[in-house]
Amino acid sequence: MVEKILLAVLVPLFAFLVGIFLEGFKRKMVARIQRRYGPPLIQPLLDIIKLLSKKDNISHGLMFDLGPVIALSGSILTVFFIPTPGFKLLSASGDLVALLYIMVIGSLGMALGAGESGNPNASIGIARALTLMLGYDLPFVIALSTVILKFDTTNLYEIVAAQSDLYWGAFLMPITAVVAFIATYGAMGEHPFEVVVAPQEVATGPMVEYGGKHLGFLMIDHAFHIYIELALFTDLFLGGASNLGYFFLKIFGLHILLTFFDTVYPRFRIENAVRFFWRWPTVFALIGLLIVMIGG
Amino acid sequence: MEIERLNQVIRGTVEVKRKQRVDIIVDNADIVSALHSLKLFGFNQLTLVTAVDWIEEQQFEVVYVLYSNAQKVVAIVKARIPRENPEIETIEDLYPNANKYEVELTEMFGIKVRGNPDSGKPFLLENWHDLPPMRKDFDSIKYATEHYEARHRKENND
Amino acid sequence: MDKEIEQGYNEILESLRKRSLWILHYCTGCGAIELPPTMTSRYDMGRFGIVPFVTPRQSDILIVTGYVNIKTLRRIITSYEQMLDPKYVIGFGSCSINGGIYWDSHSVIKKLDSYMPVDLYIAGCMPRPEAIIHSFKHLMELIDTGKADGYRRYKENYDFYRKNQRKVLGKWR
Repeated sequence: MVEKILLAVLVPLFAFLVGIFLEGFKRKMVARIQRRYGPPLIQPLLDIIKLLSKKDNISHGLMFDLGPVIALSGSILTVFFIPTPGFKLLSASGDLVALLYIMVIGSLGMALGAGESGNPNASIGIARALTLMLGYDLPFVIALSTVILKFDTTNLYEIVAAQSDLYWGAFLMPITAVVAFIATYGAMGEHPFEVVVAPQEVATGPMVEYGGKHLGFLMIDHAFHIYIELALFTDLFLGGASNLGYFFLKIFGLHILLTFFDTVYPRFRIENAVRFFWRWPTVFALIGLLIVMIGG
Repeated sequence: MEIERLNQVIRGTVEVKRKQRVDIIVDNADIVSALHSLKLFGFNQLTLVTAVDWIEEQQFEVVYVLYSNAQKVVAIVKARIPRENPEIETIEDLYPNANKYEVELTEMFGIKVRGNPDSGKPFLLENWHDLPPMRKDFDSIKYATEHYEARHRKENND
Repeated sequence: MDKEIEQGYNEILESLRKRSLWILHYCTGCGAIELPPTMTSRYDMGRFGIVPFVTPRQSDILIVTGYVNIKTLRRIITSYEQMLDPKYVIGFGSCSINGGIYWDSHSVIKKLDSYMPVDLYIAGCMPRPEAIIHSFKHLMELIDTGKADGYRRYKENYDFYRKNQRKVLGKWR
């Protein structure tokens, strides 16, 4: 029992630290690509400390306050489900399917909270977030079905176990892995899919009325979000890892790859983003599914 | 070139200044008809509506700057109106973007625009209770010193 | 004892907080043209943790870039009041100090600090990016020593500021 409680603290802490490090590293890396010096590595942590130490707080109603809490708790719950080497917290026979549902909680919490604020920019941002979700979820779900079909299980731990000895999902089904990578990329909301938090158009979208402690919570949630997306991809296609160090290295490498794309691309309009997702990634996801169905 | 034919349709003085610029001086009553014929001539773009305060002659000069994309010619229509109770007719139905220019005319010069529903509404100046600020008899320095607090300045450089 | 702990806690917090300042990217006058070089590769204010943000709710610093006319003043005050404590104001360029070249204009205010609390002025027309970065460093020092207390002054002398605002803006709100 004590062990479980300890793990319930340690696993989110690990996720948070990895997420916050990746965020800081990304800012530094983007700065170096743009030939700047860049902020220190702990800058996201400083930002969160500053936001949480703000003296004022503006509230627009109960749901507005609960929104970031729901988003954050949804993210932490998702972290419990994702296989982390060495820790085993929550696991059920169909946890990949459960995960798909739980991952939406964060966006829904944000949608409810931002909707309460009454700012038109927030409403537009929420509409964009949910539309984009429609976009990237289609290829992502097809890719996940392919994975389930390939390994013949919906248990994430069994999927990870089946990929030992370099029988990685990425090598067994390369097309599906690429599609899932693009969908993960869309879920992270980076360029060119940064349509939700487009500061130049909708003034950071759902976050427009959030400031101070609320925004601090949302930034913590963002750190978790980075970890969740990358860790899920690592578990499904990069074979998980035998210890935390390897796991971190895999996530780190993936994040560096993502940052390169993020730095050089401009932004899609929302309808172009959805059209993009529903065209080539979906087609290739179906091709990948077909290959697995025929070739086994 | 068609520009020379402008004389036949417009009541007023048409002067071809140079190859790409025409000055047209009309009476107050003929502004709308002159602009109407110019629009038929292909002057499809209204660039500016403004006024000049000729305080010594007790007149305002309303200036319309038009441009023809097809012929690449600028036409400047000028009309003198009396400084007492200045009034002009709106050209909003000819050039919709004239609306805001006319609102500005009312606000900055006190020229009333008949037929423009927005004329007289505050647009750039908020909380304004003085003469229209672009008139020559408006004393800007006096207004600024009366209304806005100035920073105390040291007399010497100590 | 409790007081000392609280003071120490506040000191640590201030020294951390000063390293993450977000400016409200709201440009009132021509001075805003000096901000892009300050943000981007040449001068890179991001290395001090200073980043432009787009909504007042998320920002800490309001930079009043250049002349402020009546119409702008109304919006600036609204934006300033929407920001969350602690918040800081930087008056930028000589126009916000004494009116600058608009000293005789019918619509430009001449002394910004009668209408809102200004923590810091940057002189010059225009101030160079070096001056802006220097002012940020100076603001960090002020925060560290507890002298950047504009938001507190605004609350304490609210009637004074409100009286001055009413004088030029008329009755509003």
